Amino acid sequence: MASTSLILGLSLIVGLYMAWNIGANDVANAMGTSVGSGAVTFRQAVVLAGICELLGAVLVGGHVTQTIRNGIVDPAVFATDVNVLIAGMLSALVGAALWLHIATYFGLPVSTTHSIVGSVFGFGLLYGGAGSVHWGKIGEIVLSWVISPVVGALIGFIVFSYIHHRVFKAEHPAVAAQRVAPGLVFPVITILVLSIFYKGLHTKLSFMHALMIAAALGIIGSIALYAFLKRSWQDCEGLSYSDQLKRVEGIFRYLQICTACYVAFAHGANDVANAVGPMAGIYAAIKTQALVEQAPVPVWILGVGAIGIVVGLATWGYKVIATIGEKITEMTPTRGFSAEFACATTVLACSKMGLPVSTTHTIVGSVVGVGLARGIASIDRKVILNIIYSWIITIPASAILCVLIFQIISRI
Amino acid sequence: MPWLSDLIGKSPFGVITEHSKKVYACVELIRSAAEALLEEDYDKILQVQHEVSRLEYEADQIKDEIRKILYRRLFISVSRDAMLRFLSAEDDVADRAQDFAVVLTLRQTKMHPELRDEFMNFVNAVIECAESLLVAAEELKALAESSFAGKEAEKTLEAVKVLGEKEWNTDKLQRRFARHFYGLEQELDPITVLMYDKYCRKLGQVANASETAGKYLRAMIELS
Repeated sequence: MASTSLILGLSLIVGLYMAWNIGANDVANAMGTSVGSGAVTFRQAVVLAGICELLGAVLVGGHVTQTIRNGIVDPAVFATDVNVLIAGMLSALVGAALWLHIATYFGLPVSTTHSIVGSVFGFGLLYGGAGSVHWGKIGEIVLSWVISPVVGALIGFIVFSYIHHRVFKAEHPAVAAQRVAPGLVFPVITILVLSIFYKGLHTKLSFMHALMIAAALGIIGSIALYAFLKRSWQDCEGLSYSDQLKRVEGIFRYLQICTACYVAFAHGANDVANAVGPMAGIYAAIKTQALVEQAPVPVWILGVGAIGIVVGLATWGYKVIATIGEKITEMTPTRGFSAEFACATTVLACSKMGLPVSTTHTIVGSVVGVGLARGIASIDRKVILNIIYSWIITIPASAILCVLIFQIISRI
Repeated sequence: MPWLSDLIGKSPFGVITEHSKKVYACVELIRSAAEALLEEDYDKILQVQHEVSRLEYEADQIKDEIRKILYRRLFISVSRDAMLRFLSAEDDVADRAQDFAVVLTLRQTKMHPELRDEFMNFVNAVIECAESLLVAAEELKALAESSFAGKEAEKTLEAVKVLGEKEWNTDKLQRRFARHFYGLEQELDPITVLMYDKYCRKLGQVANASETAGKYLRAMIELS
């Protein structure tokens, strides 16, 4: 087998390629609605996402060290040949990355998590046989296809309905927004902070303590926004109705940016492992010449992964996110915020329950949920069908690609 | 191809308002045609009729564009059925306006001096109906922005209510006109009476179509 430094170098390149694709396809989940609503420009989105993804990856990402594939395939099957497993992991990564590359080219939002699951599944099935695959896990994933968009839709529906009733139905929407928005800051920050603790900042706080800190920060945030709005957004009562609506959207812009940053942070924490996990696994396998279930991921690897993600977003992200001048009329900050908050909450809740969840599926569901609450009048039938088809073929496609790549690699 | 902007796409409401404006332009010309009738300028009537036909054709084309958009989309918070029927009803308004103009060109009929005022009142009332409809339809974009809630929705529903009242008013004026010309039937030749009756019906149909469109507009706001 080739020298260890060659393998390591190869896994670095492949890891970066994967990270690049994750950036291009997945970060749209966090920033897409914000760019679409005009809350931030594409450039600003890249900068914001960059910072948040990096922080998320480096501060919290190390804990998602399960080199994912072990949930799907039993590594004991490969105990005899570490090299086969290494080659397999590399192929899985390349296969998944290739599928992402193709999907991004066509502007389709596919699940990066499911791409890796698919490729590992393909590898495990072919080389370990049906017995080596944890079918229960596959079943869970299929279940999450339905659950995550549905729950996202439900929460998106509830959040926007709340805004519909408390803000849009009010006599003076802008005045109502000045009260409602700070009120919403409380659950947003509380859930945000709680999830950061729960993703695993290395603290030994009990749930109650974490909750109290999160709630306290939430209250502080609410008061801060309320004071800020009181000072800089005065005289809302005298405005014409359409100006009031503009103000409402202006106020919700802050909330939307806040949730977008949160989703980017959570994405960095969760998904950078998709890119560098295998690299860490290979690194550990080479070092210890054995197979490991859990590999500690050195911070520099996480940093490299995060940078790869940001570069991907900056260079090819425009394929999936609206760029300059493509503001979507019906995607205003109120809708965007509702969708993003729904997505973030759903992903958090599902991760907590151990369900492998896709942020991509969830955000699409959330947007539809907001629509159902009368935030968006209609959606293109063909587009939604294409998106759903692309989700369905993700697992088979990346499985096939992985197997093909493995054939190529094992010849070398 | 950003999936989000493809998914949400262009809102159809802007184009619908365009259609409404075209339809109203058709109806407004009824006034010119009616005035020309009173002045017995039969050439002008022909001119106006051609103009109305042209505008009605343009409205049809916009309508087809809108239908294409509507069929491609999945409506999740407004009833597509209501939207399609609204479109049909508006189309009907333009069609009836054109019918009226055509009827005027069929024969060089003279308007009895006693009937002139009532006739013009009737015509103006019908045009007012269409104007109320336009006012309501123009609010569609703002309605979508405010997610069909609050003051905006109330304003539009109020406009539809006013439309209903105006249509009732045109009914009254229609009856008044009819009773008057039937009252004069001894002084009029039968074909003239026949023509007056046609005018009556066509004008009434314009107002009815406007009211129907208003009803579907209300359905769009209230139903999901």
